Amino acid sequence: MLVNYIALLPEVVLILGMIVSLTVRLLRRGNTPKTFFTMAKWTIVVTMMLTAVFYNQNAGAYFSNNNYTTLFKVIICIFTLWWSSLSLKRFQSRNISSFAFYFLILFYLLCFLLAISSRSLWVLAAALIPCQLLNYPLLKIDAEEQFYPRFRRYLLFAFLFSAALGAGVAALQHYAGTVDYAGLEDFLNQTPSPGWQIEVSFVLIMVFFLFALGVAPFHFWFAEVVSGAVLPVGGYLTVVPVFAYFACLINLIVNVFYPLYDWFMPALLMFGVLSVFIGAIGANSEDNLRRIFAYASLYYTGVLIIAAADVNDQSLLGAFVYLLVYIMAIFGVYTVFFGCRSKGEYLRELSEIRGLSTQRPFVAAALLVYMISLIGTPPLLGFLGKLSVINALVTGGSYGLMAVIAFSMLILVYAYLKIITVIYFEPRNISFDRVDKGVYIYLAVNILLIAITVLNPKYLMHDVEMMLVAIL
Amino acid sequence: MENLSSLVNAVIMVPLLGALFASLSREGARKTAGNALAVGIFTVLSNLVVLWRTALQVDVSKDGWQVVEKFNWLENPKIELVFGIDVFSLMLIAAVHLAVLLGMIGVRHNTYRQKALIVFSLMFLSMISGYFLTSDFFSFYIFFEAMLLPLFMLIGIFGDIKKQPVLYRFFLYNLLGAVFLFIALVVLYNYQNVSIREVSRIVLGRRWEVLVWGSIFIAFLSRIPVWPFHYWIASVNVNISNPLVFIIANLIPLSGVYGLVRFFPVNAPEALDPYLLVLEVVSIVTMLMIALIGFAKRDIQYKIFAYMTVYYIMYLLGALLPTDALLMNIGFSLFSYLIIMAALEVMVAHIDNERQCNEISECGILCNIRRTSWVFSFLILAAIGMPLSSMFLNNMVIFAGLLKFNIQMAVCILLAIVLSSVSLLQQLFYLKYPPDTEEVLPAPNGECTAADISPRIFAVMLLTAALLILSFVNPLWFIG
Repeated sequence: MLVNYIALLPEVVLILGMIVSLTVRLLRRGNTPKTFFTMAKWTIVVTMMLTAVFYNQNAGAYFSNNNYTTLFKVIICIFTLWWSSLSLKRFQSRNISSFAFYFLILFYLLCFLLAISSRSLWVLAAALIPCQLLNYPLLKIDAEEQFYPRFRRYLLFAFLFSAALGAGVAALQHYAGTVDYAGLEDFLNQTPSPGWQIEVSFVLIMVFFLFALGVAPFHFWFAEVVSGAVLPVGGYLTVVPVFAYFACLINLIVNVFYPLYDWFMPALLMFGVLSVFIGAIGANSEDNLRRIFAYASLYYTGVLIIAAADVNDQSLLGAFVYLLVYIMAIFGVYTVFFGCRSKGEYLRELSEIRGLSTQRPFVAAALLVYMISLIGTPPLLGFLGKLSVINALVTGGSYGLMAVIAFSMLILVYAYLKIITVIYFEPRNISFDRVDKGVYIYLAVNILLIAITVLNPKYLMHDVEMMLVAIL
Repeated sequence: MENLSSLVNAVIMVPLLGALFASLSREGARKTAGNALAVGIFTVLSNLVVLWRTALQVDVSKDGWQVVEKFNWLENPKIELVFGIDVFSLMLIAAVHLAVLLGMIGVRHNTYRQKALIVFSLMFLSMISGYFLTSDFFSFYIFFEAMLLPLFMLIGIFGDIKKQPVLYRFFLYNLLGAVFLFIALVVLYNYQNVSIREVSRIVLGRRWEVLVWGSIFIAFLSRIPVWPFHYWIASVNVNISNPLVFIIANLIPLSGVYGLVRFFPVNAPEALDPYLLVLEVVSIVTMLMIALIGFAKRDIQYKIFAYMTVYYIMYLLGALLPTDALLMNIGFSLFSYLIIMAALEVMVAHIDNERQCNEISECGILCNIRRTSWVFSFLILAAIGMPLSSMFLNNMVIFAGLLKFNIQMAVCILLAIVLSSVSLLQQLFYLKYPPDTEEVLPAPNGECTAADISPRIFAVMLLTAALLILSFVNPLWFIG
C-alpha cells in the first residue's frame, strides 16, 4: 500500500525537514543562522535527489510525476538551494535568526512540488493559496517598519486573489461535478457550451495565476513588495516562484482548460503586451535597483506570456527556454546585489553604486554580462531566449507581437544603459565592502553555465523538448 | 584545408583570449601600467601572424568563400554557424587589425583605465573579425550586434561625452538597426535557410520583399553616417580624443558598408529600386554637406571625420551599384583607407597632446618637428588619393564605375571628395605654414617646445608608409 505513495517521498522529506527545524528551534539553545541553513540545505538536497529518482512515479489519482514536473521541480530545488546558500551571509552579518526564512523556504518548496505534480484543482489550490498568504510573514523578516503598510496591502490582495482561486475551484466542482484534471478535461471536451459559470470559474483561476506571476494589470504588488523586503526575500520571490506558477499555469491550460482557452487567449496576449510595455517603461522611471529589475521582470513575464500564448510545441519550447535563460540572468543580477555593500548595508539605490567598476571590477563585469544577457544581445545566453521566442512568433505568424517585443526591448535597454553608465562611467563616491568569496563563486558558476550553454545550447534545448513531450 | 578552417576560427578566438589575459593583468602600480597594453599589442601581432598564415592558403583567383567551416549550434530551430574567408574579408580584417595596432601604439602613454581600454578594444576586434568571417544569417547578426557592447563601453569610458543622452541614443539607434536586421533574418530564415551569398534564392511576396529587404537596408544604413543617422555618429565622434577609441568608433560605418556589400547589390529585389534612388540622393546630399562643414571648420578632428564620412559614403554608393565587379576594388581601397585613417589619427593625437601640454597654438606647429611633419604630410597626401597607396588606382576604378552608371551622381561625389581633400590640405598647410597674421608657435618663452614623435614611433610610421606603398604596387603583396 505504501509503495503506491512512494512518489511522495520528496515531499515527506521536506515535511520532516521542517519538523526537525522547528524542533531544533524550540528545544536547542545557541542556534546560529548556519544551523537552520544546514538543515534546509540537506533537506533540499535529499528532496532533489528523490525527485529525480521518482521522476515518473504516481501517487494515487491526485499526484503524478513525469519529465515535465520533474524538470521544474529539480530546477526549483536547485535555485532554492543556491539562493538559500547566498542568503546565509545576510543573516550571519546581522547575527539574526534565520529560522523563519529557512522554514518558510522549505514550506514553499513543499507547496510548489505538490502544486506542480497535482492532478486535482483542490490539491493545487491547497498548495498555492498558503504560498500567497505566507508571503506576508516572509516579507516581514527583518524588514524596515516603514514597509509594513505595503506588505499589509499585499496581504489584502493575496486574500482576494486566493479567494478567487478557491471560488473558481469550488464553482467548477459544483457545475462540472469534478475538479480532477482528467475528469474536468473530459467534461470540457464533451460539453461544447459549458455555460458562463464554468467560464467565469476558469477566469477566476487564471486571474489568480496572473496575479501570482505579477502580470499586468495584476502586477501592482510586485515592485512594491520586492523593493521593500530584505535582499534574501526579494531575490527569492523574484527568482523561484515564477517557475512553479508558470509550470502549473501551462499544465492547466494544456491538460485541462484547452477547450475554453480559445476565447481567453486574446485577453492573455493583451495582458502580455501590457506587461511588456509597463515593464519597459516602469524600469526607466525608477532609481531603485530592485524596482528597476522588478519592472524588468514584469517585461520578461510579459514576453513569456506572449510566447506561450499559442500553446503549441514551438511556442512552449520558446517560452520555456526564455524562462530558464532569463531566470539565470536575474539570479545573477541578485547575486551581484549581494556583492554591492557599503558599511555593511546592502545598496539599493542606483546612485549608491557609482563607480562600482573601479573598486569591484569583477562584480561590475558580472552585472554587465547579466544585463547584456537580459537584453538578448549575442553572443550571451539571452540571445538564445530571444531567438527562441522570436522564431516561435514568426513561425506562428505573429509578426505584430514580435515587433512589440523587439521594439519595447529598446525602451528597457535605456534603463540598463543608465545602470551601466553609473557603474562604469561615473566616479566612485563611496567605498564598497569586501565581497564574500561565496558571491564570487556563485557568479563564476553562473557565468560558466551561461558560457557552456552559449557554446552548446543543444543539451538545454533537448531537455526542454523532452519535458514538453510529457505534457503535449 | 582543415588547418585553414581552424585558423579561421582562431582569428576570432585569439583577440578574445587576449582580452581575457588583459583583464587578468595587474593595473595600478607604476611598473604594471603597461601590462595590458603589452598584452594587447602582442595579441594583435599574433593574430596578424595567424591571418597571414591563413592568407597564404587562400586562392586569390577563386571567387567566393574559400573555406567553409560549419558549427551545428542548435537543432530547433536548426541553426548552423558557418564561417569562411575570401579575399575581401581578408583585406578588411588585416586593415582593421593594423588600424587597431596603430591605435594601441597611439595610446601607449595613456594610463587612464588602460586595462578597460585594451580589454574592450580586443573584444571589439574579435567581434568585427567574426563579422567579416561569417557567411550565414545568424552568425552575421550575432557579430553585427555583439560589436556594439565593447564600442559602447569604449565610447562611454573614453569618449569624453558630456551629455549621456547622446551616448544612449547612439547605442539605441545602433541597436534598433540590429533589431531590424534580426527580424528580417528570422523571417528570411523561416522562408528558407540559405547562406548569405544565396539569399537571392529566397522568393518573397512583393510586400514582404520591401519590408524584409527594407529592414536589412535600414539596419546597415544605421551604421553609416548618412542622413538622418549622421547626427549621433558625428556628435559622438568629434568629442573623442583617445586615438584608439576614435579609430574603433570609426570602424562602425565599415560594418554597415560591409553588410551592404554582402547583401546587395545582386541580391536586392527590383521592388527596392525606387528606395535606392532616394538613398542615393540623400547620400550625396549628406556627402556634400559634411564635406562643406569639414571645409569650414578649423577642428582637425572634424575634418578627419568629414573626410572619412565622405569616403564611407562613396564606398556605400559603389557597393550599391548593380554589379559585383567593384567588390575587390572597394576592398583594396578600404585596406589603405583604414590604415591611413588610423595613422593620421595617431599623429593628430600627438599634435593635439603637444599643443595642450605646451599651451601653444597648432598653427605652424609642424615647422620644427620634422619627423611628425614628414609622416603627417605623407599621410595627408596618401589620404587625398595621391599615388602612395592602393587608394589611388582603386578609387579611380570605383569612380569610373560610378560614372558609368550615373554621371550626375559621380560628379557630385567627385565634388564632395575634392572638397574633403582640400579641407585636409588646408589643415596641412595651416599646421606647416602659418599665415602672416598669426604668430608662429606662440610658446610662453618664444621657442618651439613641442616634442617630435620618438624614433620608435617614427620607425612604426615608416613601416606603415612602406606598407601603403607596397599596397599601391600590389595590394595582395603579402600573399605573394
